Amino acid sequence: MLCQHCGQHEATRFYRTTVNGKTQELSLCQTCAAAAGLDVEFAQKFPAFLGDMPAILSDMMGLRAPAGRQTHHVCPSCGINLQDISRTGKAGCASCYTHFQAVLLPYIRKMHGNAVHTGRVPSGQRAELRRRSERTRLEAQLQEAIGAQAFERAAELRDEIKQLEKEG
Amino acid sequence: MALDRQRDEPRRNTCDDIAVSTRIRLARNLADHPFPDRMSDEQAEEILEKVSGLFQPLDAGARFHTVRLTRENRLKARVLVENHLISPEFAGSDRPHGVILSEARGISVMVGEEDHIRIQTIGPGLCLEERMQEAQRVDEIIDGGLLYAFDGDFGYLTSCPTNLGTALRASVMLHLPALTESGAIREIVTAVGKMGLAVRGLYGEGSQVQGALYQVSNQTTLGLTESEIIDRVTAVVERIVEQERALRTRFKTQRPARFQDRVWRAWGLLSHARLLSGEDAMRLLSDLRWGVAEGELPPMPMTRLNDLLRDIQPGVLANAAGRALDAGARDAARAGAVRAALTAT
Repeated sequence: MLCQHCGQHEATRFYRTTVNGKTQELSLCQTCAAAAGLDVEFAQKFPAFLGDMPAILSDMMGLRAPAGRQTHHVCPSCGINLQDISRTGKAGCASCYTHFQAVLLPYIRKMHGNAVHTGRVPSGQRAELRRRSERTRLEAQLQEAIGAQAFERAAELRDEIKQLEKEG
Repeated sequence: MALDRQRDEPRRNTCDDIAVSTRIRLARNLADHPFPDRMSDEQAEEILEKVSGLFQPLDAGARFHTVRLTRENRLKARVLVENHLISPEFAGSDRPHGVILSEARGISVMVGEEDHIRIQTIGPGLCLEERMQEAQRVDEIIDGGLLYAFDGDFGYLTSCPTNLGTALRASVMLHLPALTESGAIREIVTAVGKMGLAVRGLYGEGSQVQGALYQVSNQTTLGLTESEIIDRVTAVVERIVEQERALRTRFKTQRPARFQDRVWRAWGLLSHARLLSGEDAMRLLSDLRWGVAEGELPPMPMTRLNDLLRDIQPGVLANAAGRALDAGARDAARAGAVRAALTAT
């Protein structure tokens, strides 16, 4: 399989990100992966290959807006663009993590593995997170009940989920 | 005028011979402001005011006070760096920034570092769990008054993605002369790196190793709880301490005369020298600490040796002298500070 970016070399690096249920896949050669900042080890060895990461990556991720419109390229909250994030290695504000999630996720995975937060939670968000995990638990039970054709139990669970949504 | 010394806390562990100090750092940002790099000076001022305001009513014993750092008080900032109360990058920042301090409790809250808020607690020896509890108490003070930037999956949102999740850095400064002497430290650095931890020099990231002092800290911040991180760092530190102790014993038994000569020579030079460069002082204090820890040299509290590591630094010396010191005057002041500490009863 050829690299999706240059179309010349064999793709040896494969990336997949899922954002809001939409999965995007990338197959790159080593050089383009490094240029996109995705292959840190290689990029460190051969810094000369480091090119315009955001341009390449955002093209491929479909993040680049049509010519003349760069709305997706800039964080609507703080105004930072991908070039600046790439250059400094820092996000501009909390919203950058939502807005540029598709681009940042591979980096975060590379640093921390396929992990989600399990530590402390700020006081203001504890109730919301509890509700969210309760909902996940109830939904799993609901699927189980439907699978077992226990429709009475399923109806109960559905009511519980609705109640939880109301509270939120 | 010298800053208050940190409280000499009771001995709580058995690693004081090797573990010099412990530090906890929590990074926090406020939800409704851009991160410091993108902030205006007005926003930076506003955050400093808000955070500082939360600590004003709380005085009981902690004596919290805010130090605003400006171009005019760079010496003060340098002293705080040498006291490990603020980071070197923070000291040199150009935007409005300040630190809320309680020297009595080893607490510093940097406002306007790479993240809006960096809570830091330090203490002598190996005391990660206790310092973590203190940091969490400070965290709750801020959390009670301001809204943190947080995401259910990414945890505390930080300027740099390397700190996401718990945004916790737990680090312990270790004195490792035997591992350094034998060269085994290189293998330790590699092994520790593979376990998701890092080994750095005296003043953190990018700093040089001086006086056989190393900082061991966690790298991974996302996907582990705070307790898991603390447990992991503690386990690794204890393992390194064991290896250092084993090598010290070997060094002492296999080459007793060489060991004795080395530590007594340091004692002699430090007790009598009239001029000491920073580099010489760090090297000799390392040998002195080794000799005291092994019971070869006259007993001396480890806390005094820890204080000396700080008191011989350029900013602290100039601050104590009350004036700027040129290199010669500084070396004389350093030698004086060391002699005073060694002759104190």
